[in-house]
Amino acid sequence: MARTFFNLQMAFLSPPDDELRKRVRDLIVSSDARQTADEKRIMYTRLRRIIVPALPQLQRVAWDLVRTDRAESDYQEWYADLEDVSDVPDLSANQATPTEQHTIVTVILLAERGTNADKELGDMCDIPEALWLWRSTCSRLLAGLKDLSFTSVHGDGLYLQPAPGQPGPTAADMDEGWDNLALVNESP
Amino acid sequence: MAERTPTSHPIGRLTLFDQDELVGARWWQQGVESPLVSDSMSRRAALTVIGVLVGAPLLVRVVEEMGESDPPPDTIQGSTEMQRAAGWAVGTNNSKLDWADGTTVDVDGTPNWKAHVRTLAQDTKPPARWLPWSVPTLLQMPGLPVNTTLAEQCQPINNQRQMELGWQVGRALAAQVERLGTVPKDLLVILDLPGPQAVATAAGLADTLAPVFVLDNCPHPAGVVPAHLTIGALLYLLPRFLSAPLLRDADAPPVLVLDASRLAAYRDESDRFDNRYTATLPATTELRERGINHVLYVSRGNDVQDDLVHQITSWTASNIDVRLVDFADFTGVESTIQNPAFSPISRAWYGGSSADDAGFWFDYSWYDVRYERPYNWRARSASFWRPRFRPTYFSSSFGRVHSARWGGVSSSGGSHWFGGRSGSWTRTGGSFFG
Repeated sequence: MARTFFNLQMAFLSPPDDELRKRVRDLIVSSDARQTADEKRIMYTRLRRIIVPALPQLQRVAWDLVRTDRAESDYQEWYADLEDVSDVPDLSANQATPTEQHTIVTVILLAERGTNADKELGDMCDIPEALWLWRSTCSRLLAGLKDLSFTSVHGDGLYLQPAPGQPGPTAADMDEGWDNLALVNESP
Repeated sequence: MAERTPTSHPIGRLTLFDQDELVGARWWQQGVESPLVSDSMSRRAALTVIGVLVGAPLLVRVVEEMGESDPPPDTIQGSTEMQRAAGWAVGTNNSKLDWADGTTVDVDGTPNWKAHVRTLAQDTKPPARWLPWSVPTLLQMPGLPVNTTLAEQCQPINNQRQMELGWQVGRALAAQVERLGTVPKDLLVILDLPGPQAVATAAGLADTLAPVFVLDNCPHPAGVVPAHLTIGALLYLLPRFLSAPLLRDADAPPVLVLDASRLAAYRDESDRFDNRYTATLPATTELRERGINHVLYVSRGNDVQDDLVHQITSWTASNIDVRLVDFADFTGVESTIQNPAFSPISRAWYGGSSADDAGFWFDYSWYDVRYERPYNWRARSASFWRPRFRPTYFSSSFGRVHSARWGGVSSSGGSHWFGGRSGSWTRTGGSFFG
């Protein structure tokens, strides 16, 4: 069965005690284990409300819509990578000041091809290349997620790295560990 | 709270991480169907907030699966949340509601209702035992700071015939319960009637049973459901609700009050706001914990509404007996006094007469009665009804995928399809130093 894979990864300058981390963490752990499509939309509405005020802190971003045969395997690869914390280095020795540390928020989603969700993802990601790395584009993508028809979404994941209170990666760490992320365009 | 089952809540969490390196969760939904989306469907529209955001006229768009029947109100939680945040009249510059049958005084002829507009939810709060079953969203709305224009225009309504009939049927039902001698503690009554009539019926029952409102929507000037009239009916009859706790047993069984208009017909009319809702009923375990064994479902239909089928058949599977009472089996008796100051209906009887009225507990034979069956009694057909599962929009077996979107504008004709992939990057990544 054909599938569509969407991912959005955002790296914010965010010290360990930043409100952003706390609020994303609370959203994740307080979300119900069993949800309806409406509750899923509400979850992503809340995520957008948390993220949009923090967009000025956004430093790097990557997003992607995959509508090829690789969609499902990409989805599996992403969550396997994200959930495998065995290769996470010890950042406790990080000498960077807290304000130079980053927080990464990631959304992944696998939809059924040819459904409403697939179409809406297509519309949502129909963005001119010149705007791909704008902060406002992240806002648009998050707005699209909260409106998505989750009745035709197979799977989704929401991740925060690292947890509140933990040292985060520096810009140098980002260059090495998250080299898929591009610096945001300083335009709006 | 309703039981969260794979059927009612199909998206299940597979993993949850809450550790130093990673906080995350991943969900999976079984049984996603894959219907093709027609162009015509993509042009159907959902209500958006664009109108209110950019000052444009109301723009209503609903994206939903085309079908033989009306689409379900699966946007409701989203619309109510939006109205809580952006105000009840979101999306329109017109904030005037049509208060048909409006009046300036309550049922006692006083203006005391004015002091209760913003505190309706609190004033009608059920006893603690039944509080978890209460969904008073509608009654909370006038009290929200963002909804002052709603609160300012709220007023009592008295659409005499419908509400009076409801009141009298409520009284007649209460008389049936009281006729047992002791109010049975294992009984739950569900009123699934048009909002004002449901409120009036509940008012008639309130001296005997504890009203629990399940009204999970908000008024809107272009609303599909005239929810404001339910508020108006409650304001009119509020003195009856306020005095009732002093009159009934402290441990009186509950009566759930639903607005039967919650699933009103709606097919993406561009000038209407979808403020429908689905009712949440208690889970089987909650009924069991509170000793409920018998449920009377009172409605004007010949079956339960679609959104209740799953829960009610679940109750039945656990040997909780659910029976239908046809509201029409209570016949109102016209008052002989032709004066607008007097009630147009003097009282209601089950079966249409005082003699037949005694047949109720023979049709619903759960309890011992100490009186004789009426002569030549013939059971009402509704009493033969039994809950039976049927696929609906709200059951997973229906196999229909529907869609609703908020705040988004669908592209007309679906011209923005991607052949492969797009985005800022084309590689997989995302792990720590992966």
